[in-house]
Amino acid sequence: MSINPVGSTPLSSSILASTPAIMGGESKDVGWEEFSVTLARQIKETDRMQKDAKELTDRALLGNAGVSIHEAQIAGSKAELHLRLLMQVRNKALDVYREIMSMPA
Amino acid sequence: MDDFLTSFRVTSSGLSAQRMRLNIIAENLANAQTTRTPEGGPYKRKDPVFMAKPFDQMLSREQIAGTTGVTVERIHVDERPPRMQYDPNHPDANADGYVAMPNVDPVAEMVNMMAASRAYESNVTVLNASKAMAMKALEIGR
Amino acid sequence: MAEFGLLGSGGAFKANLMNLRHRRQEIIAANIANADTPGYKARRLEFEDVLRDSMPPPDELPMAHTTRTHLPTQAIPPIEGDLQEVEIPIPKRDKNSVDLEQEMARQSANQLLYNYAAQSMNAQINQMRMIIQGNSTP
Repeated sequence: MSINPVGSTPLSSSILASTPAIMGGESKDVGWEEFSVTLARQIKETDRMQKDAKELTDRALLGNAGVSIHEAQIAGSKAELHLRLLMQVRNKALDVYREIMSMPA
Repeated sequence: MDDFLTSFRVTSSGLSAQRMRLNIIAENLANAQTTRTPEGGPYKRKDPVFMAKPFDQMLSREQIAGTTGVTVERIHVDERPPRMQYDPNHPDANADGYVAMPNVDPVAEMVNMMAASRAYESNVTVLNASKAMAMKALEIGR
Repeated sequence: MAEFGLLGSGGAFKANLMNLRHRRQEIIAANIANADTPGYKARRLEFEDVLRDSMPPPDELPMAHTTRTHLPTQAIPPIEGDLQEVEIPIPKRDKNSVDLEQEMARQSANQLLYNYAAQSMNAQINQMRMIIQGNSTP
């Protein structure tokens, strides 16, 4: 498998793509729908990375399955970073939701 | 795509081969004055014959081109004539008073020994470096 | 692998691997201890090939049985490993087949990969703990 350079991850590009639409608020009805799509994609991406990392690590653990340790470690670190980011995004989203709910009507 | 076990295998095959070479040199030096052998005649010096051994029987799925270890294919017996030394009192002296001494040159053997010992050390260095690299790889992301 | 719960088939795989590496370490230790025992044959514990073929699928966590009609999930039985005696190309006079350098190198690699498995297991546990606690800063 190929390792994406940091910064060219599909996640960050998708966030950047959706940002101007939210900031500008030009035409389409963008808002929670857009965010949920981004979130869903992020979850899917993270899941895929976790599975890739697991596969690579299991093979590297055997020692002779043609996967080197650094390859597996890098994939594992990447997957973990994305998982941490996903958790932060989820926590922030929940915070925002609570804040909105506690606003006086 | 390669795993670090390959370098371990290659290096340890080098270590084994160099140790066998050292053993043979020790045998040659120990028998530098031996005039009697079970086969008859003086001791004949021996030489290990090294052969590059590709790891195609290796467990790795990918065929790794160019990674070959070394193995001692056989032990060659030096058939050069014995050194004739004049010593009429020696029990193995012939009618003319000459003794057939082994064709071992102790000085050449010592040089050979130093080379073998250096080669062994360099294999150890490579093994340690491979291990250190793998250990460093384990630190990625910690 | 029900007994590994949240750690799933990946946890079972690593535990199995660590067991096997532990056994291999013992066998290498026996080989090194008997490096000068006349007639002793070096032994090898082989398991990589079998283990690779039985590698767990990437999708995690066994499904719960909520009705009786659900098919049981296939639990992967632990691998035992195959113990073999080995010969060296040029036999020694005392019929001992231990090659000290090979054993040391194998011991070194085995130890390293054992550590790797332990570290990987740790990472998996920590990640699961992080998910349960719901905060991404440990």
